[in-house]
Amino acid sequence: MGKENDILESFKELKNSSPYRVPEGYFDTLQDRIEATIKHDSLSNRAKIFQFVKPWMSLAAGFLFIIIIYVTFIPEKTDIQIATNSTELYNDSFENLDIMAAQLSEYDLAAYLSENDIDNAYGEPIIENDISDLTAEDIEELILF
Amino acid sequence: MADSGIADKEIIQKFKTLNNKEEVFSLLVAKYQERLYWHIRKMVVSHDDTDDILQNSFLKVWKALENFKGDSSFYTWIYRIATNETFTFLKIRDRQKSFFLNDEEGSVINRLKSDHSFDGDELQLRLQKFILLLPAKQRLVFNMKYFDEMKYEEMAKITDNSVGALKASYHHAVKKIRAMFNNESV
Repeated sequence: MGKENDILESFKELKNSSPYRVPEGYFDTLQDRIEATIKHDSLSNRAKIFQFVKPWMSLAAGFLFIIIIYVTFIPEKTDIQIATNSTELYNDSFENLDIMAAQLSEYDLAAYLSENDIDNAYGEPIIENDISDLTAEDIEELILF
Repeated sequence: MADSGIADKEIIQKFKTLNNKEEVFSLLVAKYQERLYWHIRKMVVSHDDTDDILQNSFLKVWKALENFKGDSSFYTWIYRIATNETFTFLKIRDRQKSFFLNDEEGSVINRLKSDHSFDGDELQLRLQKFILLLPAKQRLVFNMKYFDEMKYEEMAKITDNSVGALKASYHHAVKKIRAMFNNESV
């Protein structure tokens, strides 16, 4: 330890004097520069977050654009299209009725007419005797309309 | 180097009661900027490198200030941050240097002489050369003990080493400097 102190004694006069110079005014402005570094770091962190989110935002914007285009330019179903569909349904129903009616005999139709008090085209009740004069088409017309 | 300004206890008190981060940070910068500067500068030599490390250190202090628990003094805490930043810098620089350097002593002298802000005479140049030739951790211990006159207990908190290890490190550092001094004197 004694020998070590000799060495350190040699340098004793140097101990309290630094061989390094500091630029003039460095410490006076250091605090401002540190605050600027902190602000810059905070902004660059926000920029990093934005860079991360940006591709997802672009994707979302793309989807939104497609939806807007679809809603704006793809035409809605027209009334004719709806009517056509209804007519098809209507025609289908009558087709079924036709099939069912074909299975009925004239006597069945006549019985139905008299039991249900269905009037003829002039609004007069159809009597039994008249039923035999009616054609299949007449009977069908009376039942359906 | 003498402490300047407000005591650590007062700063901690302000931190706990006012919860004003900006004000507390300003106080810390004003109090420790010069001490930390020299602590770093003695390790890395260059003013520009010191400035970078110092700013990074204070940036880390700013970010970590909210999580400061007060179980150590601000002094120890800030020194620890600055020391870690310095070692990180030196590791990167030494890794880059190792690809090119065979003559470490020559490189150290060149670094000192080429630094425009080095203002020392021949004796200063020799001392700084000897110190810079020490391994980084040993250099740190020597600087803190010899120049800053820190107690081993304080150094232990900063470096996270035991007092015994620090005493041994300082002893070896002085022994090496003596050997280099004697070799040059021959």
